[in-house]
Amino acid sequence: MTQKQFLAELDRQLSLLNISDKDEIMMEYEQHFGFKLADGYTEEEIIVKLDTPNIIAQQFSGSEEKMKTDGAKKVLAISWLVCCDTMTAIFGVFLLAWVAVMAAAAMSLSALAVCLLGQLNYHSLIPDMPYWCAALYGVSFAALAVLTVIGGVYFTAFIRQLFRAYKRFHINIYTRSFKGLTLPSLAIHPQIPVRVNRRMRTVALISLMVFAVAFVGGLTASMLSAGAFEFWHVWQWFQ
Amino acid sequence: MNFQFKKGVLELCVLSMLDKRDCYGYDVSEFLSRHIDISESTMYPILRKLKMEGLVTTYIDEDSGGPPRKYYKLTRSGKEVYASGKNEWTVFANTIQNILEGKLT
Repeated sequence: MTQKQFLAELDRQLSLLNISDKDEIMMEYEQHFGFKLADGYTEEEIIVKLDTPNIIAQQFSGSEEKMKTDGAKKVLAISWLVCCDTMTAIFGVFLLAWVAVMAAAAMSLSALAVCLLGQLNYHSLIPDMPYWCAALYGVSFAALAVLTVIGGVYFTAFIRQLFRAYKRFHINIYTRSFKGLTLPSLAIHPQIPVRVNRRMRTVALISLMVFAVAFVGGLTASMLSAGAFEFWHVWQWFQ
Repeated sequence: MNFQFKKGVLELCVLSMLDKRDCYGYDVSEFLSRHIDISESTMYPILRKLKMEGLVTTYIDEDSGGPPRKYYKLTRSGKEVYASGKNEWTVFANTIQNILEGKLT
């Protein structure tokens, strides 16, 4: 068999089995012959090392078959996707709302800390207390603000990973019924690089300890200054 | 005897080659058929299957000083599948080796 005969037969076999991109496949085999001839092989030697055109065409048709799926499955997949997407969108709105809440909490806590430490009393919202108590409270609220921010970071990473896993799930449902093959699903725990994670954890732990110490310290200081356990009575905070 | 373990692992080999650098079809076919006892036409259908599954993508390179060549390149999902496939294979091969050497009870 010559190269021309081989390629003609391959073309015929591919057409018989209705293989798509037949021209691309033929070009690849022509290039194969080209390279081998350039390396000094004869046409016969090259053909001997190839499978017969019949078998080659069958190998190509193997993957075509797997890609066929029926129309009913596609309709089902689309309707399921629409349902999933709507539910996820609603759920997503709640998740994002919680991030907004955490952000607001962090901002108000820091504002409070700044006011306490800086002795700024905007509209007299903060009740009167000796400065050292205020300072201790200020420090504790600042630590709490840091904790809230870190919590927010973790939560955002969590949501982000949830959405990425969902996107992969969404694509898989689509390709499974349209193209027949799926990608591996993603993990849903938040993906944070190890070093960042470690640093955030240390900061969180330190803030937690600072908050505990400062808050208890503030309470103790207030009780000592007021001379009573219920210092808020003595200072008439809630009158 | 002619055990069929060749077939299963050829796709993994292709992914491994593309993980290291982009190749054209003949590259893959020539390298693998040199080291493994397969026909030289085996790799082309496999490359096409990987492309249809979205694990590899192709691009044409015109400046290689000859006719335009179609290069194969791993996609991001291809990289993921390769990484997990490589792990799976390593575990599998070790288990089989242990069985053959009688190390498992």
